[in-house]
Amino acid sequence: MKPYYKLLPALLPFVLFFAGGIVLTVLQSLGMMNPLVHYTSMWTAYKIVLTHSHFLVSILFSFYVALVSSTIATVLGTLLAYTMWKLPLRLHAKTVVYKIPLVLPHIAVAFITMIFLSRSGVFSSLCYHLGITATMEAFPNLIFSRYGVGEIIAYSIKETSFVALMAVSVLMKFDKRYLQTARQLGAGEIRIFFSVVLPHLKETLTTTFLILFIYSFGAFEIPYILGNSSPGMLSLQVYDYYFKHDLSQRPVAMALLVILFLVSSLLAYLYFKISNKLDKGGM
Amino acid sequence: MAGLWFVFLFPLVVLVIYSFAGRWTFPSLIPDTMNFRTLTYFKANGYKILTHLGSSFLYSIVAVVLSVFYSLVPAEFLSRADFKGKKLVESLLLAPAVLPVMTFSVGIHIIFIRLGLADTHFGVALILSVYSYPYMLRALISGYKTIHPDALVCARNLGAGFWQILWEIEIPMLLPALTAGSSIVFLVAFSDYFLVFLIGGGSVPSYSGYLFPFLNSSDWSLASGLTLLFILLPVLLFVVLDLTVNRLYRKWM
Amino acid sequence: MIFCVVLFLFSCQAQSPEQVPLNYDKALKQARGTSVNFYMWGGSATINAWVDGYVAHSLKDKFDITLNRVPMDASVFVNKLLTEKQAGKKKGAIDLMWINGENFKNAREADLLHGPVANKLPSVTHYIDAKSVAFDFGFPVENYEVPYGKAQFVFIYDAAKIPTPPNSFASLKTWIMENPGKFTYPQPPDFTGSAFIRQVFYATTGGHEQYMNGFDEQLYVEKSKAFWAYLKEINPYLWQKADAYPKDIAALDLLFERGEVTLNMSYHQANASNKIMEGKYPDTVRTFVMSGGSIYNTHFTAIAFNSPNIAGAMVTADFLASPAAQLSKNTPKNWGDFTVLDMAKLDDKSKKAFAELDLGVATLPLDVLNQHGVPEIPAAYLTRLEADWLRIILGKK
Repeated sequence: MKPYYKLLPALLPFVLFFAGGIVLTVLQSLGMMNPLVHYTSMWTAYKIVLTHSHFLVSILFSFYVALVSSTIATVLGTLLAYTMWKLPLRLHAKTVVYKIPLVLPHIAVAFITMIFLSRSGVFSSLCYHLGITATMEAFPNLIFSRYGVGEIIAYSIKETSFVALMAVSVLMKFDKRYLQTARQLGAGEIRIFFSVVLPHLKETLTTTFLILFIYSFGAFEIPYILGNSSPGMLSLQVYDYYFKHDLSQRPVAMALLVILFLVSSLLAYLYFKISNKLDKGGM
Repeated sequence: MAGLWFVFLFPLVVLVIYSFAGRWTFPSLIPDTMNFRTLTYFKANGYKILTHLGSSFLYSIVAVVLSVFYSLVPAEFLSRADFKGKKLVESLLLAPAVLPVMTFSVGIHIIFIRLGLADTHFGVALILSVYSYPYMLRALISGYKTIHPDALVCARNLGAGFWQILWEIEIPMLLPALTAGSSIVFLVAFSDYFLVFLIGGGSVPSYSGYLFPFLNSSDWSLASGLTLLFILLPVLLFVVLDLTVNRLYRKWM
Repeated sequence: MIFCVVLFLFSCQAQSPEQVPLNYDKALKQARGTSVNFYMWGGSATINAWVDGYVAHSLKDKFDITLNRVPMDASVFVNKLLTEKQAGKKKGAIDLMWINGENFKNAREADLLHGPVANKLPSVTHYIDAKSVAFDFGFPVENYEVPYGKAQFVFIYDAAKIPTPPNSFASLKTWIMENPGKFTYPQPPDFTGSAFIRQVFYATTGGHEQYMNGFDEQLYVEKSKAFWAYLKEINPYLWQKADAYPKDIAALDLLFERGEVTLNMSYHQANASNKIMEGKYPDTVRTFVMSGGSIYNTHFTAIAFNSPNIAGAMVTADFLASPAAQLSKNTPKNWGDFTVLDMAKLDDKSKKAFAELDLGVATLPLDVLNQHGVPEIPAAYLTRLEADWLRIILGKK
């Protein structure tokens, strides 16, 4: 008989607080546990969420921001990892500086993005001196933009480092001699990257992409500093309805969270499926 | 290579410059005026800053301790045993770190209030440990995989007890994994803003909560200085941890 | 060892003295050696510094009270109290809070405040004219909040960039259209942004008197047509073509400070002088009010129903309303917020001190402000305006 009881300490946070928290979110979205809620039907909160366009816009907007930032991060991170890996071995220790964004707290990254990208910020001043823009107004408004540019860039900064980290760990196990062989056979650099290196990274990149997508879809701190609430990220809507409206509106916040949970769980399921396959496939 | 260093260090350099800037408006490439206002502020508010840093430190450390408590024994089990549905269990246990934090924390908030855990340091440490323990679990699973089970069988045959094995064999061999896991959990807990705000309710001082209003203000000089301080602590911790563990390791092995 | 740490953390909750002091003298005694958690909007570094500095030190020296300032928006901490009430939390974390307007109304209607308490405090009974603080945005105070200060809405501009600013809403509209992208206002329900639209409401619908008798749906619907028309007209000429509004007054301050917009506003009449003194604004910055009137309001402090230290909160609230604190608060270097004290009730020395205050180079003189001051609208209109603004101007269906 296997000592399954050994799992008990981990079940404490998982069942009690995590699973328990999710269950409570669902219950509260149905209007329960809240004496101030007088809904005629359990599903009223969901009806409200699904019929008011600004919620749907929020969900789509969050999707868009997550997609764009994760894609940018994956592309840039891979290129970064590849470039660093190709460097001679003695320089490898010095590349550690790319890990800096990983250590930065999210609110710090949001602040740095703001001072660089705001109309009166560092990049704008640079553009002025380079002659690209003539005035402050000529520089596009990136921070308070309705296209979520600020959030996308802030997420991309942190996420690129993460992708690079993941990619480098895979590349480290890859034999560089494959590259030499391909080069000897006459393949160009680009061809080598796409046909020899990339297939190796495919699964890691997919799982990393999924993790980053889930994260940027539902996170709060960066949009809170850089974002607007119209349209807003889903997390900002939840914050608004939970902290700034009276208690009878809470089920709406909970319903939004349940939707967030369902979408994230689906993607998480994909993530675990692929990463488990990776482990089994012996690397 | 130089490009790499420039790209990643430049933002920090700018933060440092901003900390000493008085007025720095468009389109100047360097501040128009410079002063030590930020340092004066640090000195005048030193007590407050240290209290907030200390508080964040405290609940982060407790979160690390909790995560070890949750993960140590299960990690051992999961690293060795193989059973049907093992992948499922492992995936489920890692889920809290993968899914967005808001999904379970906002729901459980009301229970925390009823249990009296809201507005307390322990409550904050608790909720932080829930979403950060997976990092420790993963690290320890890898760590355990490096310990050959035969070594433990040997020790048991020689008469070593459970605690003795734990303290003299497992923990030393797990030290790299423990360090890695602790660093991540600590970093995650220390940098967090939302959960501390939600469960702490303003009563639990935190450096992230202290820093936050400055980031939204127009006082970029103070904000930059305080942000650098925020970054400094985890970096220092990593360096210290790295050095001491390496030294200890060399001594023990 | 872990167990000890856990125990230690559990005890990290605030220690609380015995409850239910009946009067101020008892409160004074019970408050000694305790700490008071003061929840207030933290968006102004100046105000924070004054509270952390002068107020905290005075409370410690005079009454042996440790003040603990917690930055939090009023709507958020009222929400917190509501949650705590629903969860049955008898001892909360909030002692005193800085509150007024619709937040006060919401708190009263949900029975979240301890009181009546203002009539027990010497500063209030001796120096304040009860009639002047009987209503808060048209809602009866009934001694459930303690007067703290008076603020008036002003516009801010740089005289070096704009020699003659528009001084009526009609000329403001023209100015906005002639200077596209150089003006905006914080998105309601930000306090200042909401006040701005109330100003526009008064100006476009014929003044404030008609609204003083409580909420009238028909009147509102009829009159607001002109109001929405005005806002919609200026929309395309606002900063960002109104694609985005600054999310709060701090964001608008940032835009003004960095020159992205050239008109600013504040519900804090000495704000501009403050910023000039801090070196943030050039010293050519000045304030002005609209000829149609500028809204003023009284703001208050109140005690939470589940405060763990009601005695300490009472002493703190009384101190904040005392002549010494009010004088300090009125000094532009500290905050510049106007006093709620009735000058006629003060002694000659205090009267002189107030009269001789230099309110700051950018602050308008008291008589100008008083001349143009108009009272705030009843809270029900405020809530309605904010909700409709989100719906009509922002298009949130």
